[in-house]
Amino acid sequence: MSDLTLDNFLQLTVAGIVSGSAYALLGVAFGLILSVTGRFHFAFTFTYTISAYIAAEVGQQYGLPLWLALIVGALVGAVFGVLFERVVYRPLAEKSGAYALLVIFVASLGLAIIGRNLIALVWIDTASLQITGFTNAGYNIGPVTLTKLGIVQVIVAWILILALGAVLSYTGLGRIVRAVRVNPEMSLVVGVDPKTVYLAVFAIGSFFGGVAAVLNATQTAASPDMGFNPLFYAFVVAFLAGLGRHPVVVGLVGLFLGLIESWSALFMSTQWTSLVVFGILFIYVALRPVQLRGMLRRPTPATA
Amino acid sequence: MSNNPFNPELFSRLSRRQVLKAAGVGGAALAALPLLSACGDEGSTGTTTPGAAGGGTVTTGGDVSKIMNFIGPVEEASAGKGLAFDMGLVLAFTGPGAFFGRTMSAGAKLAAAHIESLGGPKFNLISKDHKSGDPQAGVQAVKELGFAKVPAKLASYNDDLGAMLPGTEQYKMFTFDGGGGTSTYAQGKPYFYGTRAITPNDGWPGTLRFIKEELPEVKRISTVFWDLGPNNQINADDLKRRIQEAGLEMGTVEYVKIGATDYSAAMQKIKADKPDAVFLGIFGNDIGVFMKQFSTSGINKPVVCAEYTQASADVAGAAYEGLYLGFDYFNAEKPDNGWSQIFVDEFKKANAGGLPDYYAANYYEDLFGMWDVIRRVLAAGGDPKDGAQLDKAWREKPEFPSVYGGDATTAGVKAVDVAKTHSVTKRPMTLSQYKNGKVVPLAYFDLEAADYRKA
Repeated sequence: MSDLTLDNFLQLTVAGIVSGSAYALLGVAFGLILSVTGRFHFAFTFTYTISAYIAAEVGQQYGLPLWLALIVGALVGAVFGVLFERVVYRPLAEKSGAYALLVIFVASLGLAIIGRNLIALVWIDTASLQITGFTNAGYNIGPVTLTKLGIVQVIVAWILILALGAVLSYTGLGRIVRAVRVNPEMSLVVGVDPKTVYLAVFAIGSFFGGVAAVLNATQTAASPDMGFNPLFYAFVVAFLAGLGRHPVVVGLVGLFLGLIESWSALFMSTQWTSLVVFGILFIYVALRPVQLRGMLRRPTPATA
Repeated sequence: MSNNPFNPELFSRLSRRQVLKAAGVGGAALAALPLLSACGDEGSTGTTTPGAAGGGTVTTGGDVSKIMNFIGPVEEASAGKGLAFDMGLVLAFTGPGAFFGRTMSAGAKLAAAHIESLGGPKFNLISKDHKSGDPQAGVQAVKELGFAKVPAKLASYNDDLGAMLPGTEQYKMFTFDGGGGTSTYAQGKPYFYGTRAITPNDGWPGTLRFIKEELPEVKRISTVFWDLGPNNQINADDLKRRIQEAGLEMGTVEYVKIGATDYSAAMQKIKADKPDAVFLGIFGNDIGVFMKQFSTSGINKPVVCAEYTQASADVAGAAYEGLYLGFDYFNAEKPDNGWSQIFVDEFKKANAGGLPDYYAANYYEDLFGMWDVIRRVLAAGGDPKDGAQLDKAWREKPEFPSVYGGDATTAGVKAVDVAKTHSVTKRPMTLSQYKNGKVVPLAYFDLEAADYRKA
């Protein structure tokens, strides 16, 4: 196998760490929303994409550096995430009773499609939008090339994942979130309103997704369709890690997927590498079908 | 009962109200999709037409009447005045190539307006979206046009990567593809003609000659192609033959998905291949994304692509600098002939001063080509709404005036081989380099590097 050289392996490992860190952040963001609220938030694609567009827009309009544009973009994504929960999902859940899961799923799919087309219409004069305020550079270390953006992506992703892990493990807010995730009705009994926690979770998850989006768009460009592929990766990571797992565990699964995907280029043509991720998911589902059962929780009066 | 939301039992127990509520939100979105995406792209065109590429308005007048001096004698009796002609426009209106649909339809709409003002038919441009190379969307589009008995269409992406070809033949839908041409795998197909150079293939000979003469250090060439499934090998074999004929060495060929955003794995394989130059068989914004990542990959070798779009250059930013561009480039800043100058002026008026790219130019002249063929059928007393008659008239004289080539008083000529390839037999091409934000021509040539000359 001519591709199987140490140089190749090292470079692909670096690439896998960068992409895997992005998958990790996405998986943590999506998994948090799904595990705590039970909402299959397909419109995550919209909050993801709009974050990148807003960051690009404010970055260009006001000459903001990347870090500031990133915060603005991700905050806007968080606001939309909260709005979706408050204005769309919760009312639907209240009125749909036991069938809220399906109703919300369909509604979120609709929001994702509407959102994608609205973005395309609003930014109709530009096929894509560039994130400014950051100059990328490559660094050669032996046979391996690192990029400044890649380093930023890894550091930012793991800071956020570790921070969320610390919050969930060691703070009062974390205990509340975990309580609602385990038993929303019981948490209501002890004075915790699950609906408020849902809003907080949507805000955090959408913010994390927005950060991933802005960093991704910095590497490429913001485009209306940019959210769909990451959603699938987010779902795969969250699902493989198991809902309700600690963010660091979820993150490590994302990192593992990124590495496996990247290393697979040693053995196969590059256009097939993304299939490896879905192959792993398929094998996992085949071997562990029991995981499907607890994946989505039926809404209760306390949560709807 | 399990919580599995996909449980059929759950579906059966949903009340009609609940289903309608869910369907209402989701359905509204689904229904809105074609409406939203087609917004500004569909509808009949007349002397005043919404411009697709910038929301401008197509107006006619001024120098438009002078176009008659370039397109040859037009007999009033067979010009088609008053004829309403349905013309399919199957382009990429959504997806990663949505840019193409906008610029191509802008060119076609301008042509429709000009043709009607010149006393020709009123083209009803029926836009269909193949979603940037989605074969199923293309098949559906051609089926809908076929059911509507649309006799002709302008297509892109090689009749949507070949998927529309059976429908094109089945419905006898006379077709020009000025976006992707025939490529190597859609040659000689009934009713289908590529009206631009086979891209990227036709640009390789002239590019390779330039490389041999100007970049003698280049010996080994790696390639990145869009993954076109069963057509991959055809493209790779064609390039390999041309590279070997030039006395160079073919390196690795990496295939990437259309619309890919992460080229790190492909980049590493190229790096390991130790090429002296990299050829790209990818298009649209993908080039910009690739170059953005290539610039920090440490490979530092010349890259040659077969397309230039401003959108792609914007994506890449500074990473676009130095990129070689080898294809049938339309120079809007220095148009080839008097007609192309009128086209550029009119396009700018309709699109807030924006210059047309070669896709706009191709679809502009292709609709004029369609009018040319319609006139021939009318002159012979035939029915221009019959695709078979259009095809027959075209095959008797497979050429029409072009905004490429020619001079101040004469239009160029676009000619197609209808015997074998169904692709152009002559096509002015340019190898340029992107320098300081501008496309700088380096060499001009025709197919197979004929008439090669340095700029």
